[in-house]
Amino acid sequence: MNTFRKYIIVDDDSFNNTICSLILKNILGEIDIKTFKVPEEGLEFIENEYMTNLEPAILFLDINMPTLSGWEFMEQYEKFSEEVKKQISIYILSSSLDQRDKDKAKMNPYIKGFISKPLNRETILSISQI
Amino acid sequence: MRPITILLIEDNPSDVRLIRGMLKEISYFKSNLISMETLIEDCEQIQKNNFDIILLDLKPDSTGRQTFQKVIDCSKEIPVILITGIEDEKLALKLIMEGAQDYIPKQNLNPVLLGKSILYSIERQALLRNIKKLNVQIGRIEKERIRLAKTPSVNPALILHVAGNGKLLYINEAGIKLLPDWQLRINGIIPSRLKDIIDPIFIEGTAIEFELSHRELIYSFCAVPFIEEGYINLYGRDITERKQAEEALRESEEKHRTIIQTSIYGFWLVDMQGRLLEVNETYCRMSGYSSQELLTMCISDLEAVEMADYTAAHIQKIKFLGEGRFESRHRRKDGSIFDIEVSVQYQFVENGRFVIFIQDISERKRTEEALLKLEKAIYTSGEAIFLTDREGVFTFVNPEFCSLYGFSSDELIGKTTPRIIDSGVLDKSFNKVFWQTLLNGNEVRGERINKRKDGTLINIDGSATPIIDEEKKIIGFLGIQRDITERKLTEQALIIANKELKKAGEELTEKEFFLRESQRAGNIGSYKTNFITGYWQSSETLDSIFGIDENYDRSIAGWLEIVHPDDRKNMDEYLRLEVIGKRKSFNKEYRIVRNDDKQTKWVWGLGDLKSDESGNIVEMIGTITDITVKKYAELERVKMTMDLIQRNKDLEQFTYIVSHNLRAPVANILGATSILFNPELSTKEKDVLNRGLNESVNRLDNVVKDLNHILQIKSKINEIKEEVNFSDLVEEIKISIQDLTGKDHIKIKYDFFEIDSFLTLKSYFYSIFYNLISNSLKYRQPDIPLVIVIKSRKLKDKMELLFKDNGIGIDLEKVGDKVFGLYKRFHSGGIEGKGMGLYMVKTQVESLGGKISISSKVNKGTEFKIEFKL
Repeated sequence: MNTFRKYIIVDDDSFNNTICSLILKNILGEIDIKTFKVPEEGLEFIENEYMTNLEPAILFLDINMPTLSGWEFMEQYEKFSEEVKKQISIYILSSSLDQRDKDKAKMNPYIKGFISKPLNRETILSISQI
Repeated sequence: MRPITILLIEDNPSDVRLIRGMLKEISYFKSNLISMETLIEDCEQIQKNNFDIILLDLKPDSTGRQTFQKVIDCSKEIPVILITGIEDEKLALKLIMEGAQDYIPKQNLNPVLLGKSILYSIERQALLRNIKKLNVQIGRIEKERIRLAKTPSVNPALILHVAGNGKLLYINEAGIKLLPDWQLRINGIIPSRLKDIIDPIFIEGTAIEFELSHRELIYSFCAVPFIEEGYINLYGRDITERKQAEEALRESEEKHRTIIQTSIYGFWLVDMQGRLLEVNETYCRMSGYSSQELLTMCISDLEAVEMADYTAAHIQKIKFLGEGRFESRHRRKDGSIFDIEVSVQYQFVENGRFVIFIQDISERKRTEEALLKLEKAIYTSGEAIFLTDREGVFTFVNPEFCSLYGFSSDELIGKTTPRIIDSGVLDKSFNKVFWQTLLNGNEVRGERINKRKDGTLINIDGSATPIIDEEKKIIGFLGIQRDITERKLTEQALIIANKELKKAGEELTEKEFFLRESQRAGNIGSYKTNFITGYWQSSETLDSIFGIDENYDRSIAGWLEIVHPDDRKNMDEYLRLEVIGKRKSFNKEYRIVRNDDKQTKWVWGLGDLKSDESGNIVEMIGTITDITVKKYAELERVKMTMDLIQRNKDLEQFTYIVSHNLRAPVANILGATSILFNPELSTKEKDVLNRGLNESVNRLDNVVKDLNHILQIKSKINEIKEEVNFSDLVEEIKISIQDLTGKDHIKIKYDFFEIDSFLTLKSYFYSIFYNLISNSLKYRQPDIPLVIVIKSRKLKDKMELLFKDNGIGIDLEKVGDKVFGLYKRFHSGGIEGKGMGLYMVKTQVESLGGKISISSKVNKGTEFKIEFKL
């Protein structure tokens, strides 16, 4: 069974990014993790990298960020070509407990799921299977 | 020496003997004495004998004088010595004055005296004679001199010498020209008509000038007599041409005089002193003076307007300009005044004079005044008046016309025709008849409906009249109109009112009682507004709701007067545009200020429009209910609802904060702890996790503190307010932020000139100022020195505080109203900020009753504006 080897984390909270990276590595072993504190940089990376990259990736996206919220991030993301988008599986990773956020995530076709922080073993194992 | 011949006239022989004896005694001359008794018969003998001297015995009576006179007359130049008695000395002296040479009183007679007197007398007489001769000679010389002076200085063309008998002695070459005509020849007799003229000259001896014409020619002659020589010199010249010129001149003068005399203008010739030198008949008629009277007068005697000084100055001015034309007034002989127009021409002759024509313009003035009055009448008649040309294009409109139709005169004159005010609602045949009558040259009177510029229709009463010239051609039209719209409306209203009156009185009492009591019970007033008269009627209950009595002005304006000032404009527009304009029912809640006690009340007005048969709105009937109690309750409910909504919003936000900001550090703690004890972690990773854990716990604590802080604000508002001085506040903050500013160059300028203090909660104001200043510090541009400008402004009813910086700014288009949200941050990386400051500022400003707004440009700066009501 194949698992995702590439992970992208977009969250302005650097400590969260550290924790996520440690947990992912702890569970999945040697994987490729890119973290972005500034969401615009994350968008730019995805657009450039996944024009040609054929290896699918999982994106953990925070909602509450100063310059670009998770939802605004998605608006930009939706403009990308299908080539790019079919390689990325997006999960909202938020500390929010707000049901409205969860509902909103469900409505978006490009969002695979809503994960409440922190990441745990079960969640990682269930989504990392291709 | 020859003997002196002496005549002695003496009747006394003894005296003769005595004198004869005395003469013989005289040795120095010899004498012959001849004596006579009287002289009466001997005058001739005296003359014949050439006496050298006469001795006359002067008789004392009157005969003595007579005798002397006779002797003088006979002897002419013979000297006379008088021999007198003692008493006759007086007479003797008198006679010496009359020609006697000497006198000797008889008693003094002696040879010496006698001899001396005789010699002296003879000598003196001789001297006199010589003087006389000389005088004659001098006279002749003088005459000759005069004669010569009279001789024409111009070289005469003709010279003739004519002898006293009319014989022509000489004629010069030029004169020969006359010969064949006048049949003149030397030694011939000159023609009789010439002779008749010169004959008297020989007698009178004085030169004369005369003219003679012959055929077409005219000659001027000067005849100078030389009487001694016996001829006359005639000097002649042909003056035909000069005469003709003179005649022409005279004729032209005559012609001018005639023109001037018969002119319709008064004429004056005036000298530089303003004296009248000449006047004509016309001016005499104008002024009532005769020309003789006028010629003794000056301008100032006639001038009725100008002061004499001014006239003098005026004369000088016209002299300078050469001519002048002006209006003035003159006074007639009878004292009445007449208007004149004066036209003056200065003539540079002699000392200068003025040719003046005077036109009596009294009539013209009267016409002008009448026209002025007419014009004024047209302008102030209160009627709308217009004129058009033949094509119907406006040539004149009076202000009334403009205001009646709402056009300016510029829009009408020369640009359009009265078709512009045609309403189009009148029957076509009406207009056809109108124009036919007009074009037949007849006036049309009557009422019609016209249209104003704004489209409204007005009722007009008036007339249209064709203006016809002498040839009976129509050259234009005159229109006079009056707005009778109001009258029409009143008429209609009267009809309706009459109908109503009839109905009333019949079914009143019981129904009225029922109506009044039910209205009072429900606090519902009723009204009826008549839009034709513009007035409304009201029920008793309505009067008490409005607080008015029967004298109140029940017009639309009177109703608006009761409406609360804040609602007045809206209600006015609602009635006009919504209700009347769109023919809707009246249904509105509004505030009133009662007329009597000035209490503010809420009322609910309802009303239905009523129209007449042709669909025109005539009136509105409806009710006005006092809903003050209900309204306040309702407003209270609205306020409570609003409060609840706000609370709910606050709660939602609180939930949001809990779910995001409180949850975030918790989630991190959970995440970190889940792997902290994993044995595979490196020391370094453990370290990172520990530090992160610590940080998250601190963050958690901060959020809890913030929340506490925020919740405090919302309850702190009841604290005691104090006068906060802005300058002091800024200085205080400057000190507290010294640590934050560090080495950077920071300027905080402030200008609290307009208003520098405010009664408020100091802790809040400190927090507001602190947060805004530290916000600017946080978001300053890295390479530009930060400048913060804080300014206060005092406006009519509010105060403004402006905080302006030159920092990095915020893209407001992107961020919008989230700027002031809690835990909203807009800058990633580098800049410390947890999204608390502006939220605090906004919460504090609003809880103090103020407002905050932001304007910003990226990389230029940000400005916050805070407003508080004063």
